[in-house]
Amino acid sequence: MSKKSRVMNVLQYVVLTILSIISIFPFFWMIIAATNKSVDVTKGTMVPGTYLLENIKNLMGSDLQYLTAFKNSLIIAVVTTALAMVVSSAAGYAFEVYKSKARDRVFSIVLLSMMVPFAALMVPLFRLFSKFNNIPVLKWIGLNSTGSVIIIAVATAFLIFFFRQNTKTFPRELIEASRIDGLGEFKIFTKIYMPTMKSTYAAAVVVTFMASWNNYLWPLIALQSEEKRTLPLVISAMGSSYTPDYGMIMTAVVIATLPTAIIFFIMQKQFVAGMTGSVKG
Amino acid sequence: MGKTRAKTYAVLAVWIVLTLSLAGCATGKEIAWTQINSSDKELLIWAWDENFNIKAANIAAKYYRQQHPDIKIQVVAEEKHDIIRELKNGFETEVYTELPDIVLIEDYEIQKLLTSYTKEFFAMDHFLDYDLYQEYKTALVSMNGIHYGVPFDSGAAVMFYRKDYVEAAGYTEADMQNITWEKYVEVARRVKEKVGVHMLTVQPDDLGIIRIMMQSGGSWYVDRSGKHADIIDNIPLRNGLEIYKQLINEDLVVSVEGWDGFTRAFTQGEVATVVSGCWIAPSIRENQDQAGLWRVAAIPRMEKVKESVNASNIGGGSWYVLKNKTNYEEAACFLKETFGENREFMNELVKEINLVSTRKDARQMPAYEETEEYFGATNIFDVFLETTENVPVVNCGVRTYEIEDILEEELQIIVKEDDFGESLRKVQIQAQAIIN
Repeated sequence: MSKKSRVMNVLQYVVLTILSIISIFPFFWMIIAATNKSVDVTKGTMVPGTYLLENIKNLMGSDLQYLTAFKNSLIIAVVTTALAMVVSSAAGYAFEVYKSKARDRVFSIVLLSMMVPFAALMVPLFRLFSKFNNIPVLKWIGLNSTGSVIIIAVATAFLIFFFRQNTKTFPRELIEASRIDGLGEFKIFTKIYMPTMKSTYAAAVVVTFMASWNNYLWPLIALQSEEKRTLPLVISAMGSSYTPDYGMIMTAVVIATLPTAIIFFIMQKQFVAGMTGSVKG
Repeated sequence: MGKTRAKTYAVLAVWIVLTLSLAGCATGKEIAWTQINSSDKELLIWAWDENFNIKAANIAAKYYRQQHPDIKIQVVAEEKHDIIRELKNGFETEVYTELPDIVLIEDYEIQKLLTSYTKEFFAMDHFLDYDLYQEYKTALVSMNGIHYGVPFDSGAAVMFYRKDYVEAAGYTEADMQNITWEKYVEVARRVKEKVGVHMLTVQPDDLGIIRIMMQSGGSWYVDRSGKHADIIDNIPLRNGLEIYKQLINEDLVVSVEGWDGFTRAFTQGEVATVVSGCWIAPSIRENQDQAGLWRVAAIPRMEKVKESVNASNIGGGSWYVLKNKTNYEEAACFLKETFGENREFMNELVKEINLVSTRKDARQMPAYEETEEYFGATNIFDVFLETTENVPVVNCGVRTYEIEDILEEELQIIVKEDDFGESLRKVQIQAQAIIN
């Protein structure tokens, strides 16, 4: 290795180390803060404290129903992710594999829905969902129901687009061979496509789970009763206090970060592979 | 066969996708809307701050249930600005089922809502005797002579100061009573010189201190009618800005970012005074290391403004009943029997959350007589209540925060330039534009 490239190497590492520290610092601070008393957090302490248990106790003892919110968020995120995988991947697959005249036009319309900001859809959506409350069969997706938050995130233009792009790398020969062997279209999708595209699914799971877990605006207006509310709403409510308990808030945030962190770490490898669009066949 | 099936799947998938992702664009026959939460015996309350307002609402619920055991009351903690957003969403779509029966709204925000959505709020005149409340507060909760809100906490602005710093600078507690801002600047200089700390925090993104000064002189960003911006000819505002400018230019204040920066400065002992609402007391009290070092006095007045008094207000909220909810009468009854007229309940709130009431007879509540070790065995409520009694009445108008955003943009120029008349003229024009 020449001297010049060694210097470059060292420089690269220095820059990367600094960037890593900058990215990790908020997490580090969050964890430190969770173990300290509120007053020590405001004083800017950087050493781990012994107040974690007390913070957890305060959190559980407050009127905020943190555990209920945690449970709601988990149910919503898991169900949304599971449904989204089935619906959006089937759509993405179909858009790519089956040819029809209208295909690309329809796909453009789907993509167009990505361009409309959610704030613009909020009021009509709110009205629409409020009507569902009156129709017995649709009550479960009416306002103030867990279903209303799930249903809206099951098919997103981004996921369909993502699956369609990744399906482009899926070998057509596999489909042809399966057809010749007498496999039905549905089975080709579930038995051949799904297992082959594992890493794409993994990436989609991470993205969908995170989006659903952190979703704020729609749950905010769709969910009202305390037993239905999700974590981001509860954490946000904690902040607007004359005397915020920063230790408790940070404990709440640390706990809220855990599920997404766990999902990400489990699927890290597949996530990277899925994002780069490679298929291991 | 396979292909036909495949097509069916494809069509089905696309159909699901389109239905779901474009659900928002759906139109169709309107289905008659009936109230689904029409159970007569349920009240939903929204508020922010679980240690203060939420706690108060829960105690109120406990009191009310004693008399009305069949009522179900649910209190939900929301973020302060989210409440406004959700209310507007509900009012615009006229979907009331998701809205609360009772809601806490900050006093600076209510006029805008009352102006745009008058028919959504229930007038409480028949339920409550408004003469029992401080005038400045009833002015904030009413519009065109009709009272809508039930006054809750006072945002009495007071001056917390570090006795040890002030004494080190050669002043006594007596020197800090009923002072002027000119005297305050003088103390600030000495404190800086002798102790080496700044006198006050300022937040470039929050002009609370200017609001405090302005209201102490009986004026606001808008005139009494609330319809005209009052910036360029506003003498208390001009004087407030002069003082603000002097404090910054002489380096007597420390600039902080956000709420945590503000609380950090006094918990770390970086400032000698906190000029803010009485609601900041629990945050000061949290730091037990400084027990006995803090005292409370009235805020300074402006010497050059003859109307200026040693009292002002910052923040505070009031409770409102939404008229288009089925249970609005029950909700009004709830407010009347708790926050409105129940003195025993209010007394408990003083003990539980240190509430500073805006009732004129607040002083007669026994809980206000207690002294506090943290503040050197003095009775801080004395100052809070006296301030509350003397707060000048102003009309906050409809766009306090928006006008303040405009002023913030000009603030750098105001602080630097000798004559900031031109900046104020700009603010005046822009402020008038958004009021119209």
